[in-house]
Amino acid sequence: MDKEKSIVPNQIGYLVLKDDGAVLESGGELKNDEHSANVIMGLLNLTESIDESFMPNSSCERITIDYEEYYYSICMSNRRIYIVKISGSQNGGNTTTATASSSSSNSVYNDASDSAGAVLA
Amino acid sequence: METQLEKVLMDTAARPDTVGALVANRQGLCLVAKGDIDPNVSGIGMAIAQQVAKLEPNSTVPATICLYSGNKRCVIKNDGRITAVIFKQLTANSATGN
Amino acid sequence: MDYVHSVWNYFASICNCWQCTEDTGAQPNEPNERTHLLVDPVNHSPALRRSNSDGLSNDYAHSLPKKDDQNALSRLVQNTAINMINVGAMDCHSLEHQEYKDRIRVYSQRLHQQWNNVQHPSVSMKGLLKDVPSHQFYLSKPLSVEDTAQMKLFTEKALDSVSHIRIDHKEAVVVPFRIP
Repeated sequence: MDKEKSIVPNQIGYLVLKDDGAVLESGGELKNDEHSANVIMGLLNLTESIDESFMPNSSCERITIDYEEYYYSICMSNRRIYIVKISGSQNGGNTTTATASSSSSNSVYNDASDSAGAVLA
Repeated sequence: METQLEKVLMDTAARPDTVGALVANRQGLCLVAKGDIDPNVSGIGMAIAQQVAKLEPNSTVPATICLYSGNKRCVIKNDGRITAVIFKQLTANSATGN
Repeated sequence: MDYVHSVWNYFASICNCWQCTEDTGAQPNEPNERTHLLVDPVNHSPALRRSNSDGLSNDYAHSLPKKDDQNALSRLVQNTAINMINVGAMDCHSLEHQEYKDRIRVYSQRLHQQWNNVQHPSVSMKGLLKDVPSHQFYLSKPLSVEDTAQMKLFTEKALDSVSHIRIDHKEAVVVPFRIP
């Protein structure tokens, strides 16, 4: 794992795909995982929006798939699709469910903060 | 009876930031929808859940899918018999509370 | 027939000139990317013999019907000859190796320029995701624990309620048919 490229903390696997679904890079538990790549490409191309009146077409900044013990986080930047498998449902990984649910301010979301993203970038 | 299901939907739709919620059956047909959500979303919601189910077919835990678009979120979960979809939107109140 | 050919050649040469001067403007005599590699192939093909032999075979076809096979064969030969272009006999503009390389460079450069100007319809990504400036920023955002908890409770209760749905029938649902 040390040699693997680290995109996010607590990462246990990653895939970088071209917008046609071709695997460009992979590592960890997702190393050469073409099955996952195909399923996720299938998901992304299933529709442009779940409901156009609620979310505009092709407007998702991120998609997460949560399996409780770990989750997948998916987004696209510069026409590359990034898929990371991350351990722990919570941000810290070690934080217990009780503290996470009590700190409600921590779980208020606004993915629209593009300006903050630009600063971090 | 289905009144019990309607009550469950009403409770969920009344939660903070929740815009609407629905439950679909195995065929993707909407059983109940409450709040500001198109019952027709049930079909595509189930299709998304079924596609994600292929990701880890051996998983004992059904996956919770979340789509993030601006201040809106769409949460989808399928546990075999039903597919649930919740539309959420960050309100001004919770945004200032942050 | 010859007359038709000469008229055709005349038109062809006019067309060539138009194509040369059309876009590039300068030097219509200078070979460029729009110059035909084979200058007026019709003129140099053995098609001129066509008129004579056409007449002959037509005559024979009427007077000697038993030679149909031979006619068909000779027609095949003629058609092949018509479609043949004798490149060696033509006065072609031959390219030196260096010139050839230069042209490759110039053409690919122009192609590249045009490619950048074209509005590519395939670039607009189809699908759920939108292109974001920083993937790391979005990927490292935590999960919404609240959503997962809400959804878990919701599906559990909904599943429980769905399993309680039953049909309150006042008559028999299964009706026995009178089978003789």
